[in-house]
Amino acid sequence: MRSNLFIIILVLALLSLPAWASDIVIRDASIMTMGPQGTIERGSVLIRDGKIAAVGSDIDVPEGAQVVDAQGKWVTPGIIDCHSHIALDSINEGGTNVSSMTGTEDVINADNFTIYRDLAGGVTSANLLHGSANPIGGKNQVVKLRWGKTGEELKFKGAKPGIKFALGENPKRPGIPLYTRGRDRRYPASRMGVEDVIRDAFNRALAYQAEWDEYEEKKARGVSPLIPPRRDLQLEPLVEVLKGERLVHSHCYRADEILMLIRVAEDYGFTVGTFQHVLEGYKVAEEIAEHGAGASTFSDWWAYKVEAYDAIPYNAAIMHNKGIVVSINSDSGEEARHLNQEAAKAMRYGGLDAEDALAMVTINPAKQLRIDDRVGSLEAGKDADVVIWNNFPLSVYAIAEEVYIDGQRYFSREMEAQRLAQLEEEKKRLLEQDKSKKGDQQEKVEDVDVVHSIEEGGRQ
Amino acid sequence: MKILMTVLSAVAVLATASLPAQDVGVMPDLKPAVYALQGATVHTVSGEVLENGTVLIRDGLIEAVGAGLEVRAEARRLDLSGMHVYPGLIDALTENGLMREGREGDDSGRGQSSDNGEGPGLYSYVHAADKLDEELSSKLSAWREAGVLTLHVAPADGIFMGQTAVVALNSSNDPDRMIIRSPVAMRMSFEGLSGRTYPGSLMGVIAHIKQTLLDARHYGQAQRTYGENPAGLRRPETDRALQALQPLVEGQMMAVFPAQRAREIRRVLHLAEEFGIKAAVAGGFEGARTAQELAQAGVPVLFSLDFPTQPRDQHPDAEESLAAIRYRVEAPRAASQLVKAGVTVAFTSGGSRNARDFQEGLRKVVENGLSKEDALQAATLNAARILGVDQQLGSIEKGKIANLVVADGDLFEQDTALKHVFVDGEKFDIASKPKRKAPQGDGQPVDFSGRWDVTVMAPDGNQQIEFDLQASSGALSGAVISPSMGSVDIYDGSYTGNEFTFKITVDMGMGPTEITLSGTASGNEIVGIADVSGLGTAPIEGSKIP
Repeated sequence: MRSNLFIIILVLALLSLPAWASDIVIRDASIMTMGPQGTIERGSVLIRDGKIAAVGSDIDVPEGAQVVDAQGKWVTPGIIDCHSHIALDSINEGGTNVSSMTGTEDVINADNFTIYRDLAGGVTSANLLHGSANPIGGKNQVVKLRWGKTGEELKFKGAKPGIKFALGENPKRPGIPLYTRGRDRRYPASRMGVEDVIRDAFNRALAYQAEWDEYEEKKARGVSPLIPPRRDLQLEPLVEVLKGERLVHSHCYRADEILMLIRVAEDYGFTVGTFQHVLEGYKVAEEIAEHGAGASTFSDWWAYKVEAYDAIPYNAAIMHNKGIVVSINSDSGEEARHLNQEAAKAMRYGGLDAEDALAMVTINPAKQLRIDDRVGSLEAGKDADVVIWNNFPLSVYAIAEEVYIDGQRYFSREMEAQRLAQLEEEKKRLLEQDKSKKGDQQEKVEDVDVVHSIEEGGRQ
Repeated sequence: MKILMTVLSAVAVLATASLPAQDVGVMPDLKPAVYALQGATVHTVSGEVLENGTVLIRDGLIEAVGAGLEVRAEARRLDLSGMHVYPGLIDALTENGLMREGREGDDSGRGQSSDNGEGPGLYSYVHAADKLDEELSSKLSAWREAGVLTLHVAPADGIFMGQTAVVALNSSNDPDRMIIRSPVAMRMSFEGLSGRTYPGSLMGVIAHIKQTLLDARHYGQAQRTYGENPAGLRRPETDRALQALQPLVEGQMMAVFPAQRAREIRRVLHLAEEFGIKAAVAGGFEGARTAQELAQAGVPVLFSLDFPTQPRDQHPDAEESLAAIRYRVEAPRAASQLVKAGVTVAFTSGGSRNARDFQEGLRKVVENGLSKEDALQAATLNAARILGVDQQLGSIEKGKIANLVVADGDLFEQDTALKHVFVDGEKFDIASKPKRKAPQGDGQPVDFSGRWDVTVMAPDGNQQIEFDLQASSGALSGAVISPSMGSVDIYDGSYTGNEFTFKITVDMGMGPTEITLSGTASGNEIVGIADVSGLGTAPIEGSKIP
């Protein structure tokens, strides 16, 4: 009886739901759309069913819509971090020099608190990459920072698959002696070796594909009996790269190694998706532009190792001016919290205007990840991933006040105090109930708040 | 050292010290192996609870269950009025009972080597049944005394760790007579291999599991194709590891995956679905968050009773994260949430080597919302069903194996004591814990300093050892010595008045084991107990060497 009553009440509640269940209007804000509409001095964004229904200065508020008064505030698309290792239970598979069979898709930790911290910095999407331990690393996973959802629900469905490559010092492992404790250091130990590992892997991928082609051809001819080739999860992603179905996101620093990968890619007939870090990109910007790769770099972070010495803060602006699609990434759960400021540095160093600078953390990474049909700008039809800032977003004083993903508010600074009080309350209650204090077993409790340290040079 | 080992093994055997001498360490009298348990409250699990019921046991099996059964003359009658009879409890996943030596691969630790000629961590061909400790019945007597009469023993190394076995803790000390079913399931691990070998990370292990499952499928397909029509085909290689995985990829054998966190459980569900394999989750502390998904997938949970606790070395002022507290408080509640959602739950010792953890864990899940009926069913019939031995075990029914527990009260109450257990129809009496004889002291302060001749009253004869102690303002230091082996230093030693306690740690072939020696002294005499962590106790007595 009681449950029947409950259902009746629920049904009544649903029936009486007004249009505001899906319609939200963010009103009277300065809007940097990052799309064809440019910057709108005073306008509104209409969100319906998780999508942007309209952006402009003359939007009528539908009846029953939830109105967010953003007068004096700024609205931008959600920030996209093109290089992140947050929310992963493992980052590097260093046991092999070609770990293309692995993927961050398998190890997402949606409970990792860094997700929420980055969200509070206006980040709505991130490219979760394998680390840089290997010339060919693992598959990536683009996610939306839907805090509170499961790992599966974080995944950005429809994002183009990618894979991590790494050049230079990290994959050649300079810190490890050539021969130690009875075993040789893992190959490769030089930049030449890195290239060799990559070429060898692609040669194997070509042979693998040929094996399957032969099998399919025989099968079509009706040859029987026939045993199909073994499926190889290491080579399948590389076949996809060769077919243009998977993007290469390659960690790199020096001009020579950047040119090397361009030569390799052109020899094998594919285009590199992005060069990551790419601190010497300014030296070979024309070559990168001609090849058609994107570049995803830091604003002004360098000299943490030899291959990162020859960097300049003008890198992003120079590459942009040479026609490269440039993004600025974090590679860090902390840095991701102020990517708007990182982008702003391209205004100081290189003289870009505000829109070109903000593009480096919105529409440009969206283009690099091939998700620009869904996110990266505020345009009708795109996902409603929206940030409301208290200030001009490229100012050091800018703070994200509200962050929406798919039209749902995942962060609100106004609600934060209340949320924290609830958590405090829960903690107090749980501690009272906790009868297992000071048990006799150690190391049973992990702290999921711990930000994963980036293994083996992931950050560098 | 050898002698100390002997002495201490003897102490370990004294896990059965609490049994009367005639039942210790020897095959009990099996003729006639006919018992009539009369007058007890019989918790059949499969059916009703019988008040004043009778259970007839003959030749290791339950011959009949009911009220007012006719009891034939040859039966040993046990008047159990006021007692409760339960099916034997089942530990649904454990490494207890495995030989400790002879790890797979090299001996550097947990599944480290991939040098087995197969794939890395690929020990699918290993059978726990071949790795059972010859003395497991004696070594695990504490489990029997806790009512855990059947173990699902699983291999301990690698990623595809090998095939499990269901074992009855009878007294035979002969694995061939203890195994009820083998193989049962394939035990899996997500732990990466060390030593810079692939796979060394979680993502590597998952990729490796996927690749190996694909390889196993391909292997089966190639063998079948070749078997049907070998002429004109190149002969596919044989591979014992992939061969051993055939029942798994064909959906006939269950794979047991460790998973505590919700995301770990979801990974298992994902893998099982992707490859169409039968899976079980071992652990399940965050099961409440995934209960619906588990129920929907029909994946059972071997729920661990080895609950998370606050780290012992945590500073009292340390601020714990909400996430850590949540995890700890929610873990024991998960069992009831899982059952409520319709998940088939059994219980495992979850890596604990202490039988008390299992007993306490059962009480804890009941305190945390699981009904006693559900808890009993999980620990018995559900486990038997998941392990495919429900024709033989899990309830008190005619024809099933006579693995029974006799308790003097409700099994889930703190002060209930077990009186007898039957394993394969064989009766073990459980004496109440040995009480110290109070020495006839004259109240004079005791000087513990000096050397003491001590006898450990082990089941297979007394063992002589020596204490060499130095007492100083309440603290004891020194060593335990055996004539030919030198000494083992004591620690945590203290005395108050005429009472003393100290510890030693020794390796008895089951990893480092802590033994607490305590007792009371009177003048030049001491009596006390040697308590082998998790295994049992043995009386000690001694006198000071003048």
